[in-house]
Amino acid sequence: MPIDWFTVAAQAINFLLLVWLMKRFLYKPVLRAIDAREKRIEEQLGDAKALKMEALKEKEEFQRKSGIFDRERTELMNAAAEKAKSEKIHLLEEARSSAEILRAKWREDLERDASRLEEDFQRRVREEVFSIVRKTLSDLAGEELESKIIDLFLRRLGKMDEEERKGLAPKTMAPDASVRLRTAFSLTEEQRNTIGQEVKKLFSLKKEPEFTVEKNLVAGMELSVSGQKISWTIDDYLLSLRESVEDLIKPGKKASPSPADGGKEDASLKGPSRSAKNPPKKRQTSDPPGEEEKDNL
Amino acid sequence: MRLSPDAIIFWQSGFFKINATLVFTWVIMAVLTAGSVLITSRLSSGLTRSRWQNVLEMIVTAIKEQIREVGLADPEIYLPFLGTIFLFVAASALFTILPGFEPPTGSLSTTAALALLVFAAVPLFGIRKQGMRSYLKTYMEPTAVMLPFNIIGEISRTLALAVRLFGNMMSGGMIAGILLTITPFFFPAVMTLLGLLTGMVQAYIFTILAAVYISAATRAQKHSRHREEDAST
Repeated sequence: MPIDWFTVAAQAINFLLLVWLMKRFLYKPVLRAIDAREKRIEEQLGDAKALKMEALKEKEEFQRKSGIFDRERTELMNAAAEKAKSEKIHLLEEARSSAEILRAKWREDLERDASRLEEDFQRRVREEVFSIVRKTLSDLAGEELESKIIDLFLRRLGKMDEEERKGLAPKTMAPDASVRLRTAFSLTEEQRNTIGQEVKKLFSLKKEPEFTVEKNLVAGMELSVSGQKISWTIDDYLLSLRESVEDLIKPGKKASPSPADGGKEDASLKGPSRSAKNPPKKRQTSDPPGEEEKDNL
Repeated sequence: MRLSPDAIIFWQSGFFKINATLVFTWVIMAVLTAGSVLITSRLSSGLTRSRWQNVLEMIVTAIKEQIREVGLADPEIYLPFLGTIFLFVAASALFTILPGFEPPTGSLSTTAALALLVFAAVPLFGIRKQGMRSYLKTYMEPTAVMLPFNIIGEISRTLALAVRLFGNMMSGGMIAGILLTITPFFFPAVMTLLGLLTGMVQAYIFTILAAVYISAATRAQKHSRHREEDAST
């Protein structure tokens, strides 16, 4: 087996050339690429690690914030619940108070209605009573009663002393003033003369009194002189009675709306019947000449 | 019967000649260089890469790892030399599947050249690593008496390297030729397959042995240094 030394030398050169070529075109670029990749991967891993750390930090931060948020939320919820509770209590209180007000108003309305009804009832009863009384008295009234009243009138006038008569007569009365006498029934001639004389004597008049019949008076007589009026009629009695009854009812209405005060109502109703026996001496009239007086005979 | 492609001479002028060994060596050189240029011209340093780049990277990193495993600390320094030995021998064996191809490693001249290069490279790498003095001192280890034996050992292992590769490569082609004359058609193909395997194994063995020798040359200093340190303490 011969060794060709030229070939050996040539192969050695060839191999060294191949080593250079391989180094130039294979190992260097490939190793460089691998290194670059490894470096890149390392960098990416480093980045990933940094990112992971950052993410962990952010996670911790998030968890911390989440914890704070949860706590705040719980606190807010508690506060809201507390507020809602107090609001509920407040609203309930308000509702209760407004219900109380409404109930009070309703009760007041009810009471007002009841009192109005009662008042209405009382008024109607009163009117009924008065109309019945008026009717009864009208039915009972007659010329006989009239003459008895006139007799009583005249008797009382006769019993008066001078002072009393002067007190009754108007202070500024002219001697020729006209006197009007109104009666419920027409009087007899004799009665007219007796009354005329008595009146003339009473007021020192010259003129004969003028007699008129007024059915509304029920019974009794009314004397008007110089804008003043002296009367003793059933109508006046009834009016006085009505006035006194209403005067008694009015203060009682305000003071006693409750049924417990019903007794007072009764008492006030009873009042006029008692006072009817002593009707007031004077009363205001709408007649134009001014103040009028009424004598309780 | 022809034993070596050296015998096929295409051109000769006195001492200079162009025989099949040289021509097929150039073919291998051309193929390896062209392939490398083609693939590495479009190298990607990103995470995605072509399958050819993958193959190249795999081969290069595998050789690198092998060198490291043998005990050479900086494989990048030895990679061009040892890697090229492996690639050249492996390519020679691989190309035998091509009809008419004569592996250059089947020539004793080629294997001798490779062995001589290893023979030269071992002291060169040793000196480069530890300095002339220190390297030469390793020949007198453990004592100066061992110097001739060390030198003989150095030469003999180079010779063994050359002959081993030549014998294996040549035998592969030889057996194929013999079988072809005895039992045509089937067996030669099987033997070629076997030759492919032994060729790859030889490439590996040659490279590893060269690495081991270089490693021994660069590591010897370490041992002596350790010894010096031990003596001084």
